[in-house]
Amino acid sequence: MAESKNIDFDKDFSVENEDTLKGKFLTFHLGKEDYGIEIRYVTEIIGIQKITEVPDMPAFVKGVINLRGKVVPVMDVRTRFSMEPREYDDRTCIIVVNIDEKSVGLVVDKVNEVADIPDKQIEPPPRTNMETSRYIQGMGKMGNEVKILLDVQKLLYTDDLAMMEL
Amino acid sequence: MGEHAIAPKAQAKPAPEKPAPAAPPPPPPRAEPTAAAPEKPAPEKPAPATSPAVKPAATPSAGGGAAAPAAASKGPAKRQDLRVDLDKLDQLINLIGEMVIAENMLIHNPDIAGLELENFHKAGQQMSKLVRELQEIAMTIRMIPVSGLFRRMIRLVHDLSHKAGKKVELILAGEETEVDKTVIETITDPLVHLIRNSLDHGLEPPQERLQVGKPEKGVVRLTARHEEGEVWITIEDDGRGLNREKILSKAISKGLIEGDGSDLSDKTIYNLIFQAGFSTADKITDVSGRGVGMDVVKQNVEKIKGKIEVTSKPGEGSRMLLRIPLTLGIIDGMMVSVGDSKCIVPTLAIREAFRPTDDAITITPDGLELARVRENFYSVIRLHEVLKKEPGSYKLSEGILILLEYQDKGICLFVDEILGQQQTVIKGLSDYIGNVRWVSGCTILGDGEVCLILDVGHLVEMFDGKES
Repeated sequence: MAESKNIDFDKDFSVENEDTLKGKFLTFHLGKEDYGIEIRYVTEIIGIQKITEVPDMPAFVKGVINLRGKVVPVMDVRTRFSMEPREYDDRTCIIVVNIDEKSVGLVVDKVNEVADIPDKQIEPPPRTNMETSRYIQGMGKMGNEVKILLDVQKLLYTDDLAMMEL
Repeated sequence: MGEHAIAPKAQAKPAPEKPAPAAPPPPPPRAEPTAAAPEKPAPEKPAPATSPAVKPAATPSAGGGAAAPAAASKGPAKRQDLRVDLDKLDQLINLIGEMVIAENMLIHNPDIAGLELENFHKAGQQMSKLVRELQEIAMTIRMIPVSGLFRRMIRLVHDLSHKAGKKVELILAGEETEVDKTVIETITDPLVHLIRNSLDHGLEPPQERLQVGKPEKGVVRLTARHEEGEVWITIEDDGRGLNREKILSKAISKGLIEGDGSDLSDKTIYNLIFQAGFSTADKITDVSGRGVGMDVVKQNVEKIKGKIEVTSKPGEGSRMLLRIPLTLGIIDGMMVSVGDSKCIVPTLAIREAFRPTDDAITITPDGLELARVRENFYSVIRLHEVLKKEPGSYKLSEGILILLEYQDKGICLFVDEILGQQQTVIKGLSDYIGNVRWVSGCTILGDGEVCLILDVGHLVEMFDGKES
């Protein structure tokens, strides 16, 4: 367990104030692109650790990990976006997000930084029929770079998972 | 015997607490010797002279929501209680569960593996012992006697028997049996339903009973006891019993079974009543016969990993047995390995484990593997196929077969190795994942790894279904 890599967001934002967290995105690398998710969903970032596989799950649910005694399911965002799978290395991180009191870990290639992207720099998502564009909340512009901002809620709970549960 | 019926009261109420308001209490006539309670029979108020012989002793507590805690506060001899917020208690129990894991991580820490640390190991042993004791206590904290639950049934039987115009004697036994609080909450509704069934479908009206030579008054017996590491709650009546023919014809008309069903065992047929929408009642009363219920009963019982069994003799009555695990928090498990992954198999389900010889294995033309265990054949389930893993060996003779039993059905589970037995603290898989077939939960091992707990019932049933 690479404890040293842990960033404790609870400490940094001890008062979970919607306003101070607004416009802040945690950016991470996935393949060639940069992505971002709203920081208010993120509880912590941990290094990759042993994932126990769970049978009968969609391919992108990698299994469960032990997060200090809590069992947290882990989703591989690459597989979720039907990208080429990639060997996990020491840069691979698990971003633990919390939605509706439920924790889920997201496996990403590399975590970058926390970036301020005000609303006016966010473009609406491209209108396509592509499967993955459903998870996109918007395109954030930072100088010359573009960050693909993901809608965590949709990423975690979309139809295909609901169908799985049936 | 016109007066009343609830015979044994395990926990005698202190007399001053409840002065009988009505008549002076006569000692209860012991019509039922088997419903033994070792404690002295409590002096009870006689029932008001109504036809149903149910004694509404618990009327004051049965009505309000305070019933359960009130019942829990009574005990044999001196028992003092403290009301504690359940959340606090759960927190404490969780914390202790985590401490067990942490203790394991500490004692079996890879950093100190192989080192000769005599004093450390002594201290470690002491600590392990304390932690185990602490855990045992934690597990009993949530346990409350079923008496509160049973008392509510007294009222129910009283009301129902009035409504249905039947004479019923309710006999309670084993009220002092302790069960996890969640279990009590979950089985309340099923129990109410089963008792309604017994009264409405099971017991005949008085005239009919007299005609067939039974005493006018029907008997419903509600018992709780500890057995085989479980709590068994039985609801028995001496009514007409389940009607095999009726269930069968109904099942055929609903297309639930093929053929005329004459080759099916009574047990299979009786289990049909747990299908959704199944009712054989000729007329629908406002109490029962609506065809919703038994399936819900089963669901509720299974939610707490319990089982329900029906036995019945035509004309003599039927018996429902709820088998419920003692605690929900912890199980005795056998850790097995397949390839590089580990699983826990609940020890209760294991009959035996053995390394099969080649000639004990038979392969049917359609590729089904059967293992012979003495006189019986069991189908083999390969755990590596279930988990989609690479096993240590594909040859059955190089692994271990574990004979698992669930509700009279058996299978042999093929695994690489048995790693050992241990007490496991059950944790639910995350809500996000939802229900997983084969898996009833997971636990955290000493080295911090998450380990899945196999759902034996599911494995056996799924495979059984495939087979037929």
